[in-house]
Amino acid sequence: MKKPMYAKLRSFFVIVILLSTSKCFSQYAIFLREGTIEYERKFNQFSILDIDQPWGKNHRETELQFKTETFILEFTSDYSIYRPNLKINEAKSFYLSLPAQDNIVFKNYRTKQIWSKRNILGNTFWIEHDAKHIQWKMTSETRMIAGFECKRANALIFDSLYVVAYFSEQLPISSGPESFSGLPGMILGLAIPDLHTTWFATKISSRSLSITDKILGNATDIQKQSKIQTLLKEAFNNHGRYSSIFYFFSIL
Amino acid sequence: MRFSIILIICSLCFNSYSQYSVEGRVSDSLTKAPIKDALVTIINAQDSILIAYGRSNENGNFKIADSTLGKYPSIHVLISYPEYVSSSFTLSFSNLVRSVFREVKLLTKQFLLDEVIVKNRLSAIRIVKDTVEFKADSFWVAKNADVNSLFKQLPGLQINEDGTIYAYGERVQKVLVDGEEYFSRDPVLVSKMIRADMVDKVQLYDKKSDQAQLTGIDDGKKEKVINLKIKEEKKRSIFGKTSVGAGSEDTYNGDLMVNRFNDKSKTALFGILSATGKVGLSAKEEDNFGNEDANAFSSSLNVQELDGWNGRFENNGLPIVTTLGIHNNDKSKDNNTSYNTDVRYFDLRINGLRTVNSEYLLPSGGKLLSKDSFYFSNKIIKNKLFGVVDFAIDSLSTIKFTIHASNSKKVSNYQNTGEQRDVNNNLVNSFFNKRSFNTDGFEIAPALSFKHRFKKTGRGLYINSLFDMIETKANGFIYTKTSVTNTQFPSDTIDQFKDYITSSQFITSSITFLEPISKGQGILSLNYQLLYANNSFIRNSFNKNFDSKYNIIDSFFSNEFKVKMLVNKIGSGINLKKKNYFINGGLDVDFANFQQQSSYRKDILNRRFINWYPKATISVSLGKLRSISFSYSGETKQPSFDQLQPLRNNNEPLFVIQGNENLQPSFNNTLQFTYLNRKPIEAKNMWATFTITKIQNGFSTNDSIDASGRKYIKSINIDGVQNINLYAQYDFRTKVKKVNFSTGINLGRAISANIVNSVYNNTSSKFLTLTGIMRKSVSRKYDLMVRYSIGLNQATSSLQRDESFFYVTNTFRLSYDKYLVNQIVFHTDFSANILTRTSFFGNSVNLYIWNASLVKKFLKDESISLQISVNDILNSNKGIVRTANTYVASEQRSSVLTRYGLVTFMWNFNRSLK
Repeated sequence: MKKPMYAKLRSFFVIVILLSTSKCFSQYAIFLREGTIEYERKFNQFSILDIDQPWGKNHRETELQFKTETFILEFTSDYSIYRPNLKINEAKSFYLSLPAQDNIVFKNYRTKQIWSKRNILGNTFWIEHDAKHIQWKMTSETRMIAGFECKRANALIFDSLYVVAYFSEQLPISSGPESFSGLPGMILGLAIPDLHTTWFATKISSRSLSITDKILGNATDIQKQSKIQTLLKEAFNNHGRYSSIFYFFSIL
Repeated sequence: MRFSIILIICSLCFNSYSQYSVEGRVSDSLTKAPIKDALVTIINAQDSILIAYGRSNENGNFKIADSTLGKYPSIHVLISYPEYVSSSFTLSFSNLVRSVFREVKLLTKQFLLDEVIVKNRLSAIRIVKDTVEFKADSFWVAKNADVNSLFKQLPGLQINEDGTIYAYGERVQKVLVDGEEYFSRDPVLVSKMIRADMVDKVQLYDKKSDQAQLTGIDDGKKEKVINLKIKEEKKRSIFGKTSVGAGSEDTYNGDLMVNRFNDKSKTALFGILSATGKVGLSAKEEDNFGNEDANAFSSSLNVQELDGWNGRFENNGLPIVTTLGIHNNDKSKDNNTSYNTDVRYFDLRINGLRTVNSEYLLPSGGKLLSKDSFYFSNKIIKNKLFGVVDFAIDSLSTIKFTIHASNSKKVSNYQNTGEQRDVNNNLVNSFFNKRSFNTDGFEIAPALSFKHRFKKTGRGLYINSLFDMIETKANGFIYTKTSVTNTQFPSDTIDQFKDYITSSQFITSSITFLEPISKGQGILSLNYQLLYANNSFIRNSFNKNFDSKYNIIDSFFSNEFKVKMLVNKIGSGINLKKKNYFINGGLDVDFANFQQQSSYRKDILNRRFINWYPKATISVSLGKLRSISFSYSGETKQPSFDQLQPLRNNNEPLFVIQGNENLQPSFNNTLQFTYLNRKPIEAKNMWATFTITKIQNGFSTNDSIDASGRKYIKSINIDGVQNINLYAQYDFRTKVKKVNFSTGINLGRAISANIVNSVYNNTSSKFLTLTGIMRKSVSRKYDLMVRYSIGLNQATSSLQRDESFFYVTNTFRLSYDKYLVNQIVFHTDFSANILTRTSFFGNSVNLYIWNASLVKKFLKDESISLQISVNDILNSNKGIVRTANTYVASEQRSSVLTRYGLVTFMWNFNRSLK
């Protein structure tokens, strides 16, 4: 029996659709190569409140335990820039300003260079970071952050700080908050237990920006990280029991 | 092609310092499409530190070149892509191997996980080499559920009604906990004791044989093993459960299970008290003691128990069971020594009534119909000890010391009345038999084994020694009264006291040497075994004196027997594994000297046997999970001493066993053809086995039944015994509704032969069984299982051709679990057995058994629950078993527990140790 023409056509379309869907099916994962990430940085401020001091006790009653600030990371496939979201952060005041409150970090992954602008104890510094090689220890643990599946990796930085990072394969950019990088995907979650601080991405959008290295244009007196580190070690020496926290925040 | 070779050469020239590279191509395993942007991560195998990474391009190709790769002893390469199952491989670079190319085929998780609700899809299932790893937290189970419920959720795993675990159609032999044996390899017990929420990962793999582990060369012998990896934070905790239940008809149940995990030391304790006939955990109570090699020989020294009860339940009567067990597992700090101990106490009491109706077909149209009824009251107390010490001397040698010990005390009483009638319903005889016995048993079996691997891959030495001592003392009274209608035969009464002592000692040593051949693709093994057995049987019978004391020895039925056996066994085997086929062959021969000595009668019987054991297997793998194999095995079976010259006894006067000193060894030939095809991802399994067995000089019996109904049984050699059997199974899952189906066919013919009243009898039975199973389960909602099987059976005896049995069995079973609101779970199961009428079994029997239960859980963590259950709601359980063989057909009915209700309170506990 001869099949009518439309039946043939229909089966042809079915095959085409099947073929095309099967193709789509195997390759449906979304990859973000450009966009903006909003991080929420939470700092347990009670950890540096001295309960022995009368003001410390007072602050425990009036302040929230976690100080929350937002930071924005804009990235393209070549550069990324990390900076505080000043609109939101300035509205919330805090009795104590932390050293890393208004860090701006610029990364060029092609040349593997990292610069940052920091306000440390009232002085503005331009720092050229050492090409530090973090030894990431990979694990099979995973969690969802801002709708992306992330894998966990652990590391030890500055020989003493334990760091937990969650990165997503679907953002194939080796970057993250502050000067962290070196993983095979964007770091969407970061925790440093000794600093009582976590960074977690809350919003991710694919809005592309035109970032260039022009941002370095107005930089004056760029200093090497190692030089700053020695300088800061001395400066924070008389800052009491929390000096190490302040010191590490300044060089992250 | 040429261009790329030039490029490679060029790049080699320019990179004068050592550059290493990992290259490959990533594609979808089903659509074969290349995968772009798949992440390739290289980590150090020792500490998981990230070394390098890269992504695949449009064609799925990737290349990671790094000069530092060579400095690591071994590296893991991980390939991942969102919504796909990660794949990994391990490699080592050397000066010779500088670049590696791999084809990587990734599998979508969609396919693997379609049926289960998965919380975290990314790492729910991983396949690393031959191991399938399931992340336990990714699968939903009820709170406080045991591992058994977790297994039901895992794709590819199946749990039978009795708790037996199957993985991809193969039976799981062992369940390990953190790689260690827990409760002596009892998978059912382990799966009930460990909580699902303690498990981090479930790993499923094929464990290779000891020999394959020793030599590193696969010998094709594998067993399915599940390893439970315990969560780090649960390695120091106490957990368990307890339940107490009481019901109508004097039923009760109580159990307690406590586990204490403390890093390298694991301790478990359990206790069960039950009067519901669901003996449950003691189903595997009777484990084989000692070594399999010794058991093979000891079977020829077996002798019938005096009291006719083997100490097990076997669904006969109403049991009350108490069992206690303690297990401990310890490891030394350096992990070189491990200790494993298992102590058990078992107390079983059974009372009941059993009636048996049988029909014996006799030559020339005769028949004998017998009716028996037994009242019995049995009791056994057993203590068992099992201990293992494993010690690794160095990385190449290990020593293992094992000890089994047990003692038992058995009291059995029974009373049997019966009669036999001829075909015209005239009484042939009637009898009364009463016995009461006490039996004490003791066994101790230490064993020592030594394994050594040589530096040359494949060369190995394996030494094994076992000593086994068994002693049984039995004594008791026997009273039988037989009345025969035909006055030409005597009617007699026996009233005796029996005092039996059986003791046996085995000692055996074996040595196996393994040598690699054919460039390490094969292995040649040579083995030698020496076995010495010494058995003595003292059987004393005493008649009653005038003062009512049993002190007159009955010299006809008293005896002292000694049986000694010396066996030298040598053998050689070869295993050859090529890329897609596998050959295994070997020949063992043993020379057995056998001496039987009767002290009272002063006669000695000496026999020598040469026994041959040839075997060969060829298997061809057609792809990874598809294989065909063909095997032959032959085995000489030597007659047991009981068949040669039995111990005379008068325990059953109507049943007399006679010896046959001229009995020759028999030879069994088995040919088997197997086809296996598994597709775990699609839940498809198919396998078929075709087996032919032919026995030359087979052991059978020459039975003569005289006019008084007395049977004389003598072992003889007979030809013509053969079996042909085809078994095939096909499992699949529907794509739309995700319903699992399993269908099976069992088809065969068995021919057995014997002699009845000097007439050669040949019984041929044919059978066909078709089975269909349907399973559907929706997490948190319901589980449903329906099974139907129909069996057609026909048996014809050459004694009376027109008296052929034909019967049909229909079996239906339904099991349904429904998760209702408010922490309530409803369960019901129904089974129907329909046995049609036959010429002998005049009536058809329909058995409908329906059980139901309701569980209500309390508290937020559901740790407390209350269960109400009703067993056999229709009150129709009859305990019927029908059998038909050679020239006898019989129906047995025994007292069973029928309808009862039970209320059970359950508590689960779980606490972590500081």
